[in-house]
Amino acid sequence: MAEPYTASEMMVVTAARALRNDDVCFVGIGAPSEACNLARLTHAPDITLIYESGTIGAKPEVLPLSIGDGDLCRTALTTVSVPETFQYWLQGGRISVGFLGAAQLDRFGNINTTVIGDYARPKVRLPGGGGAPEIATFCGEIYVIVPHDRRRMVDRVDFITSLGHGRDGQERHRLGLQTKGPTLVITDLCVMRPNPTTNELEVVSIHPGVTVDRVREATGWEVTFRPDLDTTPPPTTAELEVLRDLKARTEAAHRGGG
Amino acid sequence: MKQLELDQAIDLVQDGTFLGVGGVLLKRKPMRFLADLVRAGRSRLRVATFLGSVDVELLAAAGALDSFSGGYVGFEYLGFAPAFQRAVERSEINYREYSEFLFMAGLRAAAGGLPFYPARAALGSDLVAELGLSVIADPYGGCPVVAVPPLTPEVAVIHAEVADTFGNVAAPSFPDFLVDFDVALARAAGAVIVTAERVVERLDVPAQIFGFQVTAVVETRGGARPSGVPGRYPPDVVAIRRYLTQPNLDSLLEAVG
Repeated sequence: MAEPYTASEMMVVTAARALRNDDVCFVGIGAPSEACNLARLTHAPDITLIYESGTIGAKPEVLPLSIGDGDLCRTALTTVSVPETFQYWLQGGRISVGFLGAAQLDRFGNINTTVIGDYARPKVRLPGGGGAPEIATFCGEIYVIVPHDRRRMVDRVDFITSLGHGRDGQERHRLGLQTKGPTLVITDLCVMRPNPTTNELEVVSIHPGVTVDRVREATGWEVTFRPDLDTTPPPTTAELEVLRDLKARTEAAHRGGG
Repeated sequence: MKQLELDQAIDLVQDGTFLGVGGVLLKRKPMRFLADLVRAGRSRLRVATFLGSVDVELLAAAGALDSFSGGYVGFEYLGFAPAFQRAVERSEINYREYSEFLFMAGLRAAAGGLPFYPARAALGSDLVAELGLSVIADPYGGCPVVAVPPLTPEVAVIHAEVADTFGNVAAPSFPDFLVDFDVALARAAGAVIVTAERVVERLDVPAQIFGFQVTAVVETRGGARPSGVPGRYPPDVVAIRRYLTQPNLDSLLEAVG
Protein backbone atom coordinates (compact mmCIF):
# COMPACT_ATOMS: atom_id res chain seq x y z
CA MET A 1 0.00 0.00 0.00
CA ALA A 2 1.49 3.32 -1.07
CA GLU A 3 1.98 6.02 1.52
CA PRO A 4 -0.33 9.06 1.42
CA TYR A 5 1.36 12.22 0.10
CA THR A 6 0.51 15.86 -0.59
CA ALA A 7 0.09 17.56 -3.98
CA SER A 8 3.22 19.56 -3.27
CA GLU A 9 5.24 16.39 -2.55
CA MET A 10 3.97 14.90 -5.79
CA MET A 11 5.17 17.99 -7.65
CA VAL A 12 8.63 18.06 -6.04
CA VAL A 13 9.24 14.30 -6.48
CA THR A 14 8.21 14.47 -10.15
CA ALA A 15 10.56 17.38 -10.71
CA ALA A 16 13.43 15.61 -8.95
CA ARG A 17 13.03 12.55 -11.19
CA ALA A 18 13.57 14.66 -14.29
CA LEU A 19 17.14 15.48 -13.21
CA ARG A 20 20.11 13.35 -14.27
CA ASN A 21 23.22 12.48 -12.35
CA ASP A 22 25.46 14.37 -14.81
CA ASP A 23 23.35 17.54 -14.91
CA VAL A 24 24.79 20.92 -14.06
CA CYS A 25 21.78 22.63 -12.64
CA PHE A 26 21.01 26.29 -11.89
CA VAL A 27 18.74 26.25 -8.86
CA GLY A 28 16.15 28.73 -7.60
CA ILE A 29 15.05 28.95 -3.96
CA GLY A 30 11.86 27.16 -2.88
CA ALA A 31 10.33 24.19 -4.74
CA PRO A 32 13.16 24.07 -7.35
CA SER A 33 15.71 23.80 -4.55
CA GLU A 34 13.69 21.04 -2.85
CA ALA A 35 13.56 19.06 -6.09
CA CYS A 36 17.25 19.46 -6.88
CA ASN A 37 18.38 18.42 -3.42
CA LEU A 38 15.97 15.49 -3.41
CA ALA A 39 17.53 14.35 -6.70
CA ARG A 40 21.01 14.75 -5.17
CA LEU A 41 20.02 12.69 -2.13
CA THR A 42 18.42 9.91 -4.21
CA HIS A 43 19.27 8.97 -7.81
CA ALA A 44 21.64 11.82 -8.77
CA PRO A 45 24.38 12.02 -6.10
CA ASP A 46 26.90 13.61 -8.50
CA ILE A 47 24.63 16.39 -9.79
CA THR A 48 26.27 19.84 -9.74
CA LEU A 49 24.04 22.43 -8.12
CA ILE A 50 24.76 26.10 -8.78
CA TYR A 51 22.84 28.78 -6.92
CA GLU A 52 22.47 32.36 -8.12
CA SER A 53 24.88 33.45 -5.41
CA GLY A 54 27.71 31.82 -7.37
CA THR A 55 28.10 28.70 -5.24
CA ILE A 56 29.39 25.88 -7.43
CA GLY A 57 28.60 22.31 -6.38
CA ALA A 58 26.59 23.27 -3.29
CA LYS A 59 25.54 20.34 -1.09
CA PRO A 60 23.42 22.04 1.56
CA GLU A 61 22.57 19.96 4.64
CA VAL A 62 19.29 21.79 4.92
CA LEU A 63 17.30 23.75 2.34
CA PRO A 64 18.38 27.38 2.05
CA LEU A 65 15.81 30.11 2.78
CA SER A 66 17.80 32.71 0.88
CA ILE A 67 20.22 32.60 -2.05
CA GLY A 68 22.65 34.06 0.49
CA ASP A 69 22.42 31.27 3.09
CA GLY A 70 25.86 30.60 4.55
CA ASP A 71 25.31 26.84 4.21
CA LEU A 72 25.48 27.18 0.41
CA CYS A 73 28.94 28.80 0.55
CA ARG A 74 30.19 26.43 3.25
CA THR A 75 29.24 23.25 1.38
CA ALA A 76 30.18 24.40 -2.13
CA LEU A 77 33.44 23.70 -3.97
CA THR A 78 33.81 27.45 -4.22
CA THR A 79 31.85 30.66 -4.58
CA VAL A 80 32.58 32.53 -7.79
CA SER A 81 32.05 36.18 -8.68
CA VAL A 82 28.87 37.52 -10.25
CA PRO A 83 30.42 38.10 -13.70
CA GLU A 84 31.83 34.56 -13.66
CA THR A 85 28.44 33.11 -12.78
CA PHE A 86 26.74 34.93 -15.60
CA GLN A 87 29.38 35.13 -18.29
CA TYR A 88 31.26 31.88 -17.96
CA TRP A 89 28.66 29.54 -16.50
CA LEU A 90 25.41 30.85 -17.93
CA GLN A 91 26.16 32.81 -21.09
CA GLY A 92 29.01 30.43 -21.84
CA GLY A 93 26.50 27.59 -22.11
CA ARG A 94 27.85 25.44 -19.28
CA ILE A 95 24.59 24.80 -17.44
CA SER A 96 22.43 21.94 -18.65
CA VAL A 97 19.23 22.64 -16.71
CA GLY A 98 17.74 25.77 -15.13
CA PHE A 99 14.92 25.40 -12.66
CA LEU A 100 12.50 28.30 -12.32
CA GLY A 101 9.25 29.17 -10.57
CA ALA A 102 6.69 31.66 -11.90
CA ALA A 103 4.04 34.11 -10.73
CA GLN A 104 2.45 33.68 -14.16
CA LEU A 105 3.24 31.10 -16.85
CA ASP A 106 1.59 31.17 -20.27
CA ARG A 107 0.78 28.63 -22.97
CA PHE A 108 4.18 29.19 -24.62
CA GLY A 109 6.11 28.83 -21.38
CA ASN A 110 6.85 32.56 -20.94
CA ILE A 111 7.41 33.55 -17.32
CA ASN A 112 6.25 36.70 -15.55
CA THR A 113 7.73 37.66 -12.18
CA THR A 114 7.59 41.45 -12.72
CA VAL A 115 4.06 42.94 -12.69
CA ILE A 116 0.43 41.94 -12.75
CA GLY A 117 -1.16 44.50 -15.08
CA ASP A 118 0.62 47.34 -16.83
CA TYR A 119 4.39 47.84 -16.32
CA ALA A 120 4.19 51.59 -15.54
CA ARG A 121 0.95 51.38 -13.50
CA PRO A 122 0.90 47.84 -12.17
CA LYS A 123 -2.03 46.31 -10.33
CA VAL A 124 0.52 44.29 -8.36
CA ARG A 125 4.23 45.04 -8.39
CA LEU A 126 6.18 41.82 -7.81
CA PRO A 127 9.70 41.98 -6.31
CA GLY A 128 11.47 41.46 -9.65
CA GLY A 129 13.05 38.70 -11.68
CA GLY A 130 16.61 38.71 -10.28
CA GLY A 131 18.68 36.48 -12.55
CA ALA A 132 15.76 34.55 -14.06
CA PRO A 133 15.85 36.32 -17.47
CA GLU A 134 19.37 35.09 -18.24
CA ILE A 135 18.76 31.69 -16.69
CA ALA A 136 15.82 31.30 -19.09
CA THR A 137 17.88 32.41 -22.07
CA PHE A 138 21.06 30.42 -21.45
CA CYS A 139 20.50 27.15 -19.64
CA GLY A 140 20.42 24.18 -22.02
CA GLU A 141 16.80 23.64 -21.05
CA ILE A 142 14.38 25.01 -18.47
CA TYR A 143 12.16 23.13 -16.05
CA VAL A 144 9.39 25.16 -14.47
CA ILE A 145 7.68 24.28 -11.19
CA VAL A 146 4.42 26.11 -10.61
CA PRO A 147 1.22 25.52 -8.62
CA HIS A 148 -1.61 24.98 -11.09
CA ASP A 149 -4.47 27.48 -11.01
CA ARG A 150 -6.06 30.00 -13.38
CA ARG A 151 -4.33 32.96 -11.80
CA ARG A 152 -0.93 31.51 -12.63
CA MET A 153 -1.51 29.40 -15.73
CA VAL A 154 -2.61 32.10 -18.14
CA ASP A 155 -3.17 32.37 -21.88
CA ARG A 156 -0.77 35.29 -22.17
CA VAL A 157 1.50 36.65 -19.44
CA ASP A 158 1.11 40.37 -18.65
CA PHE A 159 4.88 40.81 -19.00
CA ILE A 160 7.66 38.53 -20.25
CA THR A 161 10.30 38.67 -17.53
CA SER A 162 11.95 35.46 -18.71
CA LEU A 163 11.60 34.22 -22.26
CA GLY A 164 9.88 30.90 -22.83
CA HIS A 165 9.05 30.36 -26.47
CA GLY A 166 7.82 33.94 -27.03
CA ARG A 167 4.41 35.43 -27.87
CA ASP A 168 3.87 33.11 -30.84
CA GLY A 169 5.99 30.15 -29.76
CA GLN A 170 8.79 30.84 -32.28
CA GLU A 171 10.79 33.67 -30.68
CA ARG A 172 13.82 31.59 -29.69
CA HIS A 173 14.27 30.48 -33.27
CA ARG A 174 13.99 34.09 -34.50
CA LEU A 175 16.63 35.27 -32.02
CA GLY A 176 18.95 32.45 -33.07
CA LEU A 177 19.18 31.02 -29.55
CA GLN A 178 20.69 27.55 -29.39
CA THR A 179 19.13 26.68 -26.02
CA LYS A 180 15.81 24.84 -25.80
CA GLY A 181 13.86 26.99 -23.34
CA PRO A 182 11.10 25.40 -21.24
CA THR A 183 10.93 21.69 -22.08
CA LEU A 184 9.13 20.55 -18.94
CA VAL A 185 6.52 22.11 -16.68
CA ILE A 186 5.64 20.37 -13.45
CA THR A 187 2.55 21.49 -11.55
CA ASP A 188 0.69 20.03 -8.60
CA LEU A 189 -1.84 18.57 -11.07
CA CYS A 190 0.11 17.39 -14.09
CA VAL A 191 3.23 17.39 -16.25
CA MET A 192 3.37 19.46 -19.45
CA ARG A 193 5.74 19.62 -22.40
CA PRO A 194 5.79 21.93 -25.42
CA ASN A 195 4.33 20.68 -28.69
CA PRO A 196 7.29 19.83 -30.96
CA THR A 197 6.00 22.14 -33.72
CA THR A 198 4.01 24.95 -32.09
CA ASN A 199 5.75 24.96 -28.68
CA GLU A 200 2.38 25.27 -26.96
CA LEU A 201 2.41 23.49 -23.60
CA GLU A 202 0.45 20.22 -23.64
CA VAL A 203 -0.41 17.84 -20.83
CA VAL A 204 1.64 14.64 -21.07
CA SER A 205 0.69 13.09 -17.74
CA ILE A 206 -1.79 13.69 -14.95
CA HIS A 207 -1.01 13.03 -11.31
CA PRO A 208 -2.91 10.17 -9.65
CA GLY A 209 -6.42 11.14 -8.56
CA VAL A 210 -6.53 14.30 -10.76
CA THR A 211 -9.12 14.44 -13.53
CA VAL A 212 -8.80 15.88 -17.03
CA ASP A 213 -11.63 18.29 -16.18
CA ARG A 214 -9.83 19.58 -13.13
CA VAL A 215 -6.71 20.36 -15.20
CA ARG A 216 -8.88 22.03 -17.85
CA GLU A 217 -10.62 24.21 -15.25
CA ALA A 218 -7.34 25.26 -13.66
CA THR A 219 -5.72 26.27 -16.97
CA GLY A 220 -6.23 29.71 -18.55
CA TRP A 221 -6.20 28.46 -22.12
CA GLU A 222 -7.89 25.68 -24.12
CA VAL A 223 -5.36 23.10 -23.01
CA THR A 224 -4.46 20.09 -25.15
CA PHE A 225 -3.97 16.60 -23.72
CA ARG A 226 -1.58 14.30 -25.55
CA PRO A 227 -3.29 11.26 -27.08
CA ASP A 228 -0.95 8.96 -25.13
CA LEU A 229 -1.80 10.76 -21.87
CA ASP A 230 -0.25 8.97 -18.92
CA THR A 231 -0.69 8.89 -15.17
CA THR A 232 2.36 10.31 -13.38
CA PRO A 233 3.90 7.58 -11.19
CA PRO A 234 3.25 8.43 -7.52
CA PRO A 235 6.15 9.10 -5.12
CA THR A 236 7.79 5.98 -3.68
CA THR A 237 8.10 5.46 0.05
CA ALA A 238 11.85 5.95 -0.25
CA GLU A 239 11.48 9.30 -2.06
CA LEU A 240 8.97 10.53 0.48
CA GLU A 241 11.22 9.54 3.36
CA VAL A 242 14.19 11.45 1.99
CA LEU A 243 12.09 14.52 1.16
CA ARG A 244 10.36 14.61 4.56
CA ASP A 245 13.62 14.08 6.36
CA LEU A 246 15.18 16.98 4.41
CA LYS A 247 12.25 19.25 5.24
CA ALA A 248 12.25 18.27 8.92
CA ARG A 249 15.99 19.01 9.14
CA THR A 250 15.40 22.33 7.41
CA GLU A 251 12.64 23.33 9.79
CA ALA A 252 14.70 22.40 12.85
CA ALA A 253 17.71 24.35 11.58
CA HIS A 254 15.80 27.52 10.75
CA ARG A 255 13.56 27.49 13.83
CA GLY A 256 13.80 30.63 15.92
CA GLY A 257 14.13 33.28 13.27
CA GLY A 258 16.84 31.93 10.94
CA MET B 1 43.27 60.94 5.56
CA LYS B 2 39.84 60.05 4.27
CA GLN B 3 38.13 59.50 7.62
CA LEU B 4 35.05 61.65 8.22
CA GLU B 5 32.21 61.80 10.70
CA LEU B 6 28.91 60.40 9.48
CA ASP B 7 27.21 63.82 9.14
CA GLN B 8 30.10 65.09 7.00
CA ALA B 9 29.77 62.08 4.68
CA ILE B 10 26.00 62.60 4.45
CA ASP B 11 26.70 66.03 2.92
CA LEU B 12 28.23 64.28 -0.10
CA VAL B 13 24.74 63.13 -1.11
CA GLN B 14 22.29 65.80 -2.32
CA ASP B 15 18.60 65.73 -3.17
CA GLY B 16 18.30 63.88 -6.48
CA THR B 17 21.73 62.21 -6.35
CA PHE B 18 22.11 58.96 -8.30
CA LEU B 19 23.21 56.75 -5.42
CA GLY B 20 24.62 53.23 -5.74
CA VAL B 21 23.99 51.15 -2.63
CA GLY B 22 26.30 48.25 -1.79
CA GLY B 23 25.42 44.95 -0.16
CA VAL B 24 23.12 42.24 -1.43
CA LEU B 25 19.68 41.31 -0.03
CA LEU B 26 20.10 41.21 3.77
CA LYS B 27 23.89 41.42 3.82
CA ARG B 28 26.23 44.40 4.17
CA LYS B 29 23.61 47.09 3.54
CA PRO B 30 24.90 50.53 4.69
CA MET B 31 21.80 51.07 6.82
CA ARG B 32 23.15 53.61 9.32
CA PHE B 33 24.19 55.86 6.43
CA LEU B 34 20.81 55.51 4.71
CA ALA B 35 18.91 56.13 7.95
CA ASP B 36 20.87 59.36 8.47
CA LEU B 37 20.14 60.41 4.88
CA VAL B 38 16.44 59.98 5.71
CA ARG B 39 16.81 61.94 8.97
CA ALA B 40 18.63 64.69 7.08
CA GLY B 41 15.58 64.93 4.81
CA ARG B 42 17.20 63.95 1.52
CA SER B 43 14.63 63.42 -1.23
CA ARG B 44 14.15 62.41 -4.88
CA LEU B 45 17.08 60.01 -4.62
CA ARG B 46 17.73 57.78 -7.60
CA VAL B 47 19.06 54.51 -6.26
CA ALA B 48 20.74 51.55 -7.89
CA THR B 49 21.53 48.26 -6.21
CA PHE B 50 21.87 44.69 -7.41
CA LEU B 51 19.26 43.09 -5.13
CA GLY B 52 17.50 45.36 -2.66
CA SER B 53 15.75 44.67 0.62
CA VAL B 54 15.58 46.77 3.79
CA ASP B 55 17.76 49.50 2.20
CA VAL B 56 15.34 50.30 -0.60
CA GLU B 57 12.34 49.72 1.66
CA LEU B 58 13.62 52.30 4.17
CA LEU B 59 14.08 54.97 1.49
CA ALA B 60 10.67 54.15 -0.01
CA ALA B 61 8.94 54.27 3.39
CA ALA B 62 10.51 57.70 3.98
CA GLY B 63 9.31 58.98 0.60
CA ALA B 64 12.93 59.71 -0.33
CA LEU B 65 13.05 57.61 -3.49
CA ASP B 66 12.41 58.85 -7.01
CA SER B 67 13.58 55.82 -8.97
CA PHE B 68 15.11 52.44 -8.38
CA SER B 69 17.36 50.46 -10.73
CA GLY B 70 18.06 46.84 -9.89
CA GLY B 71 16.93 43.26 -10.15
CA TYR B 72 14.80 42.67 -7.06
CA VAL B 73 13.39 44.38 -4.00
CA GLY B 74 11.97 42.12 -1.32
CA PHE B 75 12.71 39.83 1.57
CA GLU B 76 12.66 36.41 -0.17
CA TYR B 77 10.91 33.95 2.18
CA LEU B 78 9.92 36.77 4.56
CA GLY B 79 7.79 38.53 1.96
CA PHE B 80 7.50 41.57 -0.29
CA ALA B 81 8.72 45.09 0.50
CA PRO B 82 5.40 46.77 1.39
CA ALA B 83 6.19 50.51 1.17
CA PHE B 84 8.25 50.08 -1.98
CA GLN B 85 5.64 47.92 -3.65
CA ARG B 86 2.80 50.35 -2.87
CA ALA B 87 4.78 53.37 -4.11
CA VAL B 88 5.63 51.63 -7.40
CA GLU B 89 1.99 50.61 -7.87
CA ARG B 90 1.03 54.29 -7.42
CA SER B 91 3.75 55.31 -9.89
CA GLU B 92 5.46 57.36 -7.18
CA ILE B 93 8.66 55.44 -7.70
CA ASN B 94 9.92 54.48 -11.14
CA TYR B 95 11.19 50.89 -10.89
CA ARG B 96 13.73 50.38 -13.65
CA GLU B 97 13.95 46.61 -13.39
CA TYR B 98 17.22 45.12 -14.60
CA SER B 99 18.04 41.45 -14.80
CA GLU B 100 21.10 40.65 -12.69
CA PHE B 101 23.39 40.28 -15.68
CA LEU B 102 22.09 43.43 -17.40
CA PHE B 103 22.87 45.31 -14.18
CA MET B 104 26.40 43.88 -13.99
CA ALA B 105 26.90 44.67 -17.68
CA GLY B 106 25.99 48.32 -16.98
CA LEU B 107 28.53 48.49 -14.14
CA ARG B 108 31.17 46.88 -16.34
CA ALA B 109 30.57 49.41 -19.11
CA ALA B 110 30.95 52.21 -16.53
CA ALA B 111 34.06 50.71 -14.94
CA GLY B 112 35.71 49.93 -18.28
CA GLY B 113 35.07 53.26 -20.01
CA LEU B 114 32.92 51.62 -22.70
CA PRO B 115 29.89 53.14 -24.48
CA PHE B 116 28.09 49.87 -23.86
CA TYR B 117 28.77 46.32 -22.76
CA PRO B 118 27.44 43.53 -24.97
CA ALA B 119 25.33 40.92 -23.22
CA ARG B 120 23.06 38.21 -24.46
CA ALA B 121 21.42 38.18 -21.05
CA ALA B 122 17.68 38.67 -21.00
CA LEU B 123 17.30 38.44 -24.78
CA GLY B 124 13.57 38.09 -25.42
CA SER B 125 12.64 39.61 -22.06
CA ASP B 126 10.31 42.64 -22.05
CA LEU B 127 12.76 44.23 -19.58
CA VAL B 128 15.08 45.07 -22.47
CA ALA B 129 12.49 47.34 -24.13
CA GLU B 130 11.26 48.85 -20.83
CA LEU B 131 14.84 49.86 -20.02
CA GLY B 132 15.18 51.36 -23.50
CA LEU B 133 18.16 49.16 -24.32
CA SER B 134 19.22 48.64 -27.92
CA VAL B 135 19.49 45.15 -29.31
CA ILE B 136 22.14 45.20 -32.01
CA ALA B 137 23.31 42.78 -34.66
CA ASP B 138 26.45 40.78 -34.03
CA PRO B 139 28.92 42.26 -36.57
CA TYR B 140 30.33 38.74 -37.02
CA GLY B 141 26.97 37.15 -37.83
CA GLY B 142 25.84 35.40 -34.63
CA CYS B 143 22.65 36.04 -32.66
CA PRO B 144 21.98 39.65 -31.60
CA VAL B 145 23.34 41.24 -28.42
CA VAL B 146 21.89 43.72 -25.95
CA ALA B 147 24.03 46.88 -25.82
CA VAL B 148 23.92 47.89 -22.16
CA PRO B 149 25.01 51.51 -21.56
CA PRO B 150 27.09 52.51 -18.51
CA LEU B 151 25.38 52.50 -15.14
CA THR B 152 27.31 55.23 -13.35
CA PRO B 153 26.10 56.19 -9.87
CA GLU B 154 27.33 59.65 -8.88
CA VAL B 155 28.04 58.32 -5.40
CA ALA B 156 28.29 54.73 -4.15
CA VAL B 157 27.97 53.87 -0.48
CA ILE B 158 29.17 50.46 0.71
CA HIS B 159 29.52 48.88 4.13
CA ALA B 160 32.71 46.93 4.92
CA GLU B 161 34.17 45.06 7.87
CA VAL B 162 37.49 46.84 8.04
CA ALA B 163 38.89 49.87 6.25
CA ASP B 164 41.80 52.17 7.01
CA THR B 165 42.08 55.92 7.35
CA PHE B 166 43.46 56.13 3.79
CA GLY B 167 40.28 54.55 2.39
CA ASN B 168 41.66 51.08 1.68
CA VAL B 169 39.01 48.43 2.24
CA ALA B 170 39.90 44.91 3.38
CA ALA B 171 38.52 41.88 1.59
CA PRO B 172 35.77 40.24 3.68
CA SER B 173 36.95 37.66 6.20
CA PHE B 174 34.13 35.27 5.39
CA PRO B 175 34.04 33.77 1.85
CA ASP B 176 30.52 34.98 1.35
CA PHE B 177 28.45 35.17 -1.80
CA LEU B 178 28.34 38.16 -4.14
CA VAL B 179 31.05 40.03 -2.24
CA ASP B 180 32.41 41.21 -5.55
CA PHE B 181 29.27 43.28 -6.17
CA ASP B 182 30.52 46.02 -3.82
CA VAL B 183 33.85 46.09 -5.65
CA ALA B 184 32.14 46.31 -9.05
CA LEU B 185 29.91 49.12 -7.78
CA ALA B 186 32.84 51.04 -6.32
CA ARG B 187 34.66 50.86 -9.67
CA ALA B 188 31.64 52.14 -11.59
CA ALA B 189 30.72 55.07 -9.35
CA GLY B 190 31.92 58.68 -9.49
CA ALA B 191 32.63 58.85 -5.75
CA VAL B 192 32.75 56.17 -3.06
CA ILE B 193 31.76 56.42 0.58
CA VAL B 194 32.75 53.50 2.79
CA THR B 195 31.17 52.85 6.15
CA ALA B 196 33.05 50.21 8.12
CA GLU B 197 32.65 48.22 11.31
CA ARG B 198 36.18 49.26 12.18
CA VAL B 199 38.54 51.88 10.79
CA VAL B 200 42.22 51.16 11.48
CA GLU B 201 45.15 53.45 10.86
CA ARG B 202 46.67 51.26 8.14
CA LEU B 203 45.44 47.89 6.78
CA ASP B 204 47.77 44.93 7.25
CA VAL B 205 45.66 42.59 5.12
CA PRO B 206 45.02 42.67 1.35
CA ALA B 207 42.67 45.40 0.16
CA GLN B 208 39.95 44.99 -2.47
CA ILE B 209 38.98 48.65 -2.80
CA PHE B 210 41.83 51.12 -2.76
CA GLY B 211 42.20 54.48 -1.07
CA PHE B 212 42.59 56.45 -4.27
CA GLN B 213 39.10 55.30 -5.34
CA VAL B 214 37.49 56.28 -2.06
CA THR B 215 36.19 59.71 -1.08
CA ALA B 216 35.29 59.16 2.55
CA VAL B 217 35.55 56.50 5.26
CA VAL B 218 33.27 56.48 8.29
CA GLU B 219 33.38 54.12 11.25
CA THR B 220 29.87 52.80 11.97
CA ARG B 221 29.83 49.81 14.30
CA GLY B 222 26.79 47.69 13.59
CA GLY B 223 26.21 50.05 10.66
CA ALA B 224 24.57 47.35 8.54
CA ARG B 225 21.83 46.46 11.04
CA PRO B 226 19.17 45.21 10.62
CA SER B 227 20.95 43.58 7.67
CA GLY B 228 23.93 41.39 8.58
CA VAL B 229 27.67 41.28 8.04
CA PRO B 230 28.79 37.66 7.37
CA GLY B 231 31.23 36.49 10.01
CA ARG B 232 30.23 39.35 12.38
CA TYR B 233 26.48 39.44 12.89
CA PRO B 234 23.46 37.87 11.19
CA PRO B 235 20.50 39.82 9.81
CA ASP B 236 18.03 40.82 12.54
CA VAL B 237 15.22 38.66 11.21
CA VAL B 238 13.07 39.31 14.28
CA ALA B 239 13.11 43.08 13.73
CA ILE B 240 12.47 42.65 10.02
CA ARG B 241 9.55 40.31 10.63
CA ARG B 242 8.14 42.82 13.14
CA TYR B 243 8.37 45.58 10.56
CA LEU B 244 6.78 43.45 7.84
CA THR B 245 3.88 42.56 10.15
CA GLN B 246 3.22 46.23 10.90
CA PRO B 247 5.09 48.42 8.44
CA ASN B 248 5.98 51.78 9.89
CA LEU B 249 8.93 54.07 9.21
CA ASP B 250 9.77 54.71 12.86
CA SER B 251 10.04 51.03 13.72
CA LEU B 252 12.29 50.52 10.72
CA LEU B 253 14.53 53.43 11.77
CA GLU B 254 14.65 51.96 15.27
CA ALA B 255 15.84 48.62 13.89
CA VAL B 256 18.89 50.37 12.44
CA GLY B 257 21.80 50.00 14.85
